[in-house]
Amino acid sequence: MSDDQKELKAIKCTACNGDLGRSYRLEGSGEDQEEIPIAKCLSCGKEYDQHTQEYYEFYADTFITDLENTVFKLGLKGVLDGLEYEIIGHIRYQEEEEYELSTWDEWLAVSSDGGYHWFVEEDGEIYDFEEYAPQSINLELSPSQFEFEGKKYSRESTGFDARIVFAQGELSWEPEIGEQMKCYDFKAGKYYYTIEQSEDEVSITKGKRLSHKKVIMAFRKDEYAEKYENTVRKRKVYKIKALVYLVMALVSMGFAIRGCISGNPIKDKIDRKNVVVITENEYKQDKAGNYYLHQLLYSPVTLDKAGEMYEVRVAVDTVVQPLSLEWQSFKLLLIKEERIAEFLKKKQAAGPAGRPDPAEMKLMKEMLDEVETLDDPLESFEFSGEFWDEVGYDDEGRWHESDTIATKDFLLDDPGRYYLYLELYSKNKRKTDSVYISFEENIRSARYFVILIFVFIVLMIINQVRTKSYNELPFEVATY
Amino acid sequence: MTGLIRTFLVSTLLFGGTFWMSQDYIGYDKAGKAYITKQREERKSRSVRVGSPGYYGSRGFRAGK
Repeated sequence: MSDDQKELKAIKCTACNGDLGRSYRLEGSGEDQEEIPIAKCLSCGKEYDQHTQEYYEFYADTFITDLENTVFKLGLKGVLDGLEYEIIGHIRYQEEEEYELSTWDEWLAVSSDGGYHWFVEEDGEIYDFEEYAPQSINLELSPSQFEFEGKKYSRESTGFDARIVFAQGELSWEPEIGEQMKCYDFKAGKYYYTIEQSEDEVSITKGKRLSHKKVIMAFRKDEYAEKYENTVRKRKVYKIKALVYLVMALVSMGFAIRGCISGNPIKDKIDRKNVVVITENEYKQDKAGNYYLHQLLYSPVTLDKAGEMYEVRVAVDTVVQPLSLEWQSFKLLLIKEERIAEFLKKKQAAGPAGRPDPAEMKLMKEMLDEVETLDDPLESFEFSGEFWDEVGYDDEGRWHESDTIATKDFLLDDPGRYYLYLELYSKNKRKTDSVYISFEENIRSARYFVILIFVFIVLMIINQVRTKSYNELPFEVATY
Repeated sequence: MTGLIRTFLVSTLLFGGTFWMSQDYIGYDKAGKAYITKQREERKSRSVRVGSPGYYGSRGFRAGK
């Protein structure tokens, strides 16, 4: 820090000549509350925020912490498009609306043809500006607009207030720290225009964007040419990587969609009317609570594809009987035709083919009541779940939700004909045919591809960010 | 270039692994002999009391609303 700047730090309160100290002001509320840095008089408490010159004088050193990380330097010489340039002056501006660091640098250069240029470094971009005399300009056109070469521009979208926070070298005037000016930045055609309006002067410049490569090769080839090439090469590699991951995410999405839309109904129709009703709305009261029990045995269905995935769906048929503010649980067992026959033989009874007579029914009920206690499982698959319908109130008012469909995928390794044994437990009495069962075959797996989509998207985003953030140079490079 | 090769390798392995898991239905419930074998083992190792809450599966009953 120079001696001049040290002196600037010793500024006094304009009201009482007291010393200023660092402080902050709370703005906003709740989660949006922010601490806005200000300078405050230690004697009278007068506050100086970013809309005062004293603020910039007091915090002057905070705006120049990265002063070394610029492409241009004072005294730098280089040849650009056949003209020799020398950097003779430097001004750093801060956007007044921002209390966080939001600066840009303007470097005054004199060229071998006697002209003056402003090289502007902002957000990793470099521009070459020259003084410009427009054919027409009217800054007082209206409170919301100004006119520039026959076109109207909005003050709000192009304008902002800026403060000078640092200056060095030879400049056409002596800038003061904290000096305010109104700026209008806009683009017309392929050129960028800047109007800087201070208390007693208006400066208009016209410029174009320069590539970092061109500037580095002209001014700092020896120091940064290699690092620049490395940066560009690496960024291109990250770009290709991001593209590869994007393609892989899309391919995974294709496979996931294929899995989601796969499946077709099995040939056998499940006849809800032709079902052996073992128990119907039998009231039960035990440790689990009070409920009504249904035990239903559906005619066998053929599941004949070994090593294939099936989907079974159990759902409430709301047309037959709506589920209204109640619950219903179910347990579905797939029991192979032969296994029931084998079991009944062991019990010295006739096979279950056809509609069972009362004796067979009694035996079957005994068998199914204890189906889960058998050491040798009778069933080949079990699927259980529950349906519910609820209403309630929350911050947004009344809600009504229900879940009346349950599905499960399973891999079958033993094709054949399977009985469907369904137990239903309900809060209220329910109709026997108010629940239906259906099967789909040729189901393809989608779940792992869905996970993979997210993995590839995350990898793509990481690499996409690296295409902009990777940098071996000490200064920001947005485009190359 | 090494980075690109690694990217292709990672992509291939991730996609290949996922494809294999999907084709072999890894992690899906089994029905048939595999189910019976698994249940037989489980039932050997635990005693199930008829009428206990476990009879209705792990979810049990809803308490009602």
